Amino acid sequence: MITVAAVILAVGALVFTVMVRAGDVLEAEPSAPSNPDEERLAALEESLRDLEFEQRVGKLSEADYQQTRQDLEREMAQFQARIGGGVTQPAVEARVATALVCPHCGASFPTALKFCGECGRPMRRNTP
Amino acid sequence: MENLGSISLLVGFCLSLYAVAASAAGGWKRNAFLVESSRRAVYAVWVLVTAASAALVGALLADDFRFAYVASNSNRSLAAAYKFAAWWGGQEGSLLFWNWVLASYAALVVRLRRTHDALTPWVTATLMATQGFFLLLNAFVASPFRMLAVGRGITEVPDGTGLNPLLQHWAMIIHPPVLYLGYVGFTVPFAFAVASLAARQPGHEWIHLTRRWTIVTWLFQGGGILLGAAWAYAVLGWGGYWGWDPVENASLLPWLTATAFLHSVMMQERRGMMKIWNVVLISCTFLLSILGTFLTRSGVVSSVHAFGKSPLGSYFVVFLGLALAVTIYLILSRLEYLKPEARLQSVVSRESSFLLNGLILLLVCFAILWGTLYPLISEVFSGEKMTVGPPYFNRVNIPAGLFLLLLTGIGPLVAWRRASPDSLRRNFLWPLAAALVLAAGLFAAGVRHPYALVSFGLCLFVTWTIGSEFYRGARAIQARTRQNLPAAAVELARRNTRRHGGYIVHLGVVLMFVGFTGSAFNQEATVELKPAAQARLGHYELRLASVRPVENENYAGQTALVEVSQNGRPLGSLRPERRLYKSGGQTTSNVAIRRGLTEDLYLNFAGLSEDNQRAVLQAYVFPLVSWIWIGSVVLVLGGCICLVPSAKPGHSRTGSGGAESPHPEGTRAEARPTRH
Amino acid sequence: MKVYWRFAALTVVIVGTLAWLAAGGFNETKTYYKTIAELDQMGASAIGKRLRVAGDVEAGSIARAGGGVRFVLRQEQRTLRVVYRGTAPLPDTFRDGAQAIADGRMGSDGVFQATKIQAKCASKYEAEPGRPPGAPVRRAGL
Repeated sequence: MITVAAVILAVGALVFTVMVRAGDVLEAEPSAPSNPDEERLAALEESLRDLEFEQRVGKLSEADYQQTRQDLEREMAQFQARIGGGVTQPAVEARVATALVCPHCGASFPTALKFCGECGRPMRRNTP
Repeated sequence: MENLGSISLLVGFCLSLYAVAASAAGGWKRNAFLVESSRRAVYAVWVLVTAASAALVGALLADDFRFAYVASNSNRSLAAAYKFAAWWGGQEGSLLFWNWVLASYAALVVRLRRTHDALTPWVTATLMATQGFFLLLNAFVASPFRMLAVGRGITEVPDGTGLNPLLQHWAMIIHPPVLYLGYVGFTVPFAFAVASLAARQPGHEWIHLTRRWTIVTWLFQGGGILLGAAWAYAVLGWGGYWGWDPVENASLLPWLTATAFLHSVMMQERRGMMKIWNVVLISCTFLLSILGTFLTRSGVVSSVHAFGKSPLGSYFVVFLGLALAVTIYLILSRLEYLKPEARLQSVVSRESSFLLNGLILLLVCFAILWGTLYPLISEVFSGEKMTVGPPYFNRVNIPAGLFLLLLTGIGPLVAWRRASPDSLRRNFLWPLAAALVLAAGLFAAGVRHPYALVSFGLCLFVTWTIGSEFYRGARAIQARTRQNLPAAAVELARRNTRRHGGYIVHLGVVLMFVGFTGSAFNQEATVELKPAAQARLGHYELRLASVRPVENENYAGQTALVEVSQNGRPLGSLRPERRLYKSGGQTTSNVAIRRGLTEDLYLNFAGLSEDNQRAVLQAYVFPLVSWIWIGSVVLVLGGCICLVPSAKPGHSRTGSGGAESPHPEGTRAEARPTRH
Repeated sequence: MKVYWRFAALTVVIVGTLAWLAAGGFNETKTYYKTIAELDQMGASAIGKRLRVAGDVEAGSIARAGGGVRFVLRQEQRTLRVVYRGTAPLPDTFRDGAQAIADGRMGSDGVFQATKIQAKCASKYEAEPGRPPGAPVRRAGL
């Protein structure tokens, strides 16, 4: 009797595992779970807050505080440049490559040009 | 009953193999159907393993002695709690228990990750590969459902041999489950690390996801080890709580690497350093936990005879080899994703103290592993089988432990990136001075043992640094919120539970070190007393009032009634016993302990002298030993505090933002970085 | 880069110290496993060395005498007389027929001077009883 129950249990387990219908499949996760650059920036901001607190509490000498603060702000600026403003570095590079943005003065135009309308220099990189 | 168990284990084994294949294929080809099917397989395996476990427990509770396992691990007169605990009392049953805990963890992990992402298929594959191995052992090699077969057909015995009376103790009921929750639990963060490597992720995701798992697992493992020590102290008759026995060492090894991992994880989160180190540490933790269970079960080192007496040994070696090969391959082939984002900037910095912490813990781990495996190694390489004893372990581990204690005092106070002499002076002048004063004072009072002086000094040093952290932080909060100091301290802890929970854990460790150091001052005496005679030990007088017989259905024996007084003032009486258990013929001595904060008085009734006129008593004084148990409780409490989510910035009663508080960890996934 | 060299130097010092401690502790406590048969073969060269011998306690051989405990270990037809004079109590599992391990040195009179005794309960169903992980073999001595 128990043996019969055992067999039914086993068969039930197998059926449950194999019979997957379309409706059972889970939603896909949003494609960018977390951006490493944003993570690093958040970590740096947290470090800055901790630094402020430790300085207030008296754990740091003035020299250490200043030097570490400069380091943190410099690194934060680097990451901010990579993320910030809505335009990422790769996008900017792409636009320079297709001669829509002047590589020397930064002016941008709706169509590709040979010479920049603002500064007069060639729109190709690597030429002065 | 036996068919329910055997069939469930067999089908469970097949399904776990299917789960590995389906999840790996589904992860590789991004096939959602296969991934979903593998998730269902995890649930199905849990149901089947639970059914098999229920079958075994049912047989134990029903005294079904047709089963070989029930007959050798239980008997009729055992209390129900011990019959249930016999589930993990023997080889086959404890393997089944391991399987059940692993299946439960796997089901929980799958249940909590309900999105179709890159990591989950590989996590499932790793968990189910481990499950498949253990189910293989249970289904084919060491089945708990083997029937007794005497002559032809199945027979049963009228009663089992029962549980060793030494193990009939409340600590022994909960010690194995708690330890297994730790041992088995290490598989989960390891699975996430493997998944992260397999999916070619940069590495911060798996660290973040497994933080709580790892703390919980580490707590269980530590708690299990400490329960075993508490049992050994109270039961074994000579007041020892740690013997550097191979099985004890086996449980300590993964805990050491897990401790190193918990600390170095912070380096990766803060500075993007030590990524390779973290993957290696968690892999070592997993491999060591498998090695630990292998050492315990295969009889490889506790036996004095040939290698691998149990057939299980070779299976474990193969599994360990495969796991090691896969891990090494994954780490080496994904090295480009594990590049550090920052460099060490100063030898005097928090990064440096974390690195040293990891280094020392690994070295200690290696030294213990070497000493434990030495009988095997020496036999393979020199033909002679040799062993090393506690003095070897103590010589290495005491100084290493003291250095680690020093680091727990230095680490939290030294700054990230760099710490100038001025910063060091601000933080360490007073604690160091206090420690030196204490050491000098103890020396003047007659304490000469160098390690004891260093240890007590360091304990004060670390306590002072922890106290100053809480004090200075609470004062800073008090300046803004006008709360009283204790309330400000609580608020401080709430805002960063991880850091302050960690401080409490360190405090627990300090208390335990105080307890360990007390053993340098142990006293003992063995005396033979006639009734009404008296003996002295330390400042205690021990008077034997009488020796009376005692008997019940389980055992017969004698109780020595000893009256204790101190400098003439009566303190009460202790009743150590000596028992002979009727079933199994085992003798035990049940010690009597008078516990106190400054010292324990420990009495063991070793029997009667040859002429049956005098009672042989072994008396011990163990100074400060209770602080080990107190420290253990503090450690666990601190760990639990770490698990509580920190209060989010701006939601505290003060209403002010982050400028005056250490930024809480909070829920990283939700926090969006603010723009300046 | 200078930082890494300094850190490496610190590491070397720490590793070196621990290794030196380990080596010292190793040599101090190294104990050779020997069977009773091997012990007989060693003859006089066994005297004074730190050894570990295992066997079964011969029924009826346990006798408490003058501050020590005498008993006989038996293994594969060979026997060894042992005397234990340690301060720690004998393990509760130590009785007739138990598997025992004695650590100590061989005396010139052919009696093994044991400083440490461990004993395991004999099991009825298997040669290697499945003990729950963490349940230690009972031992006496330091």
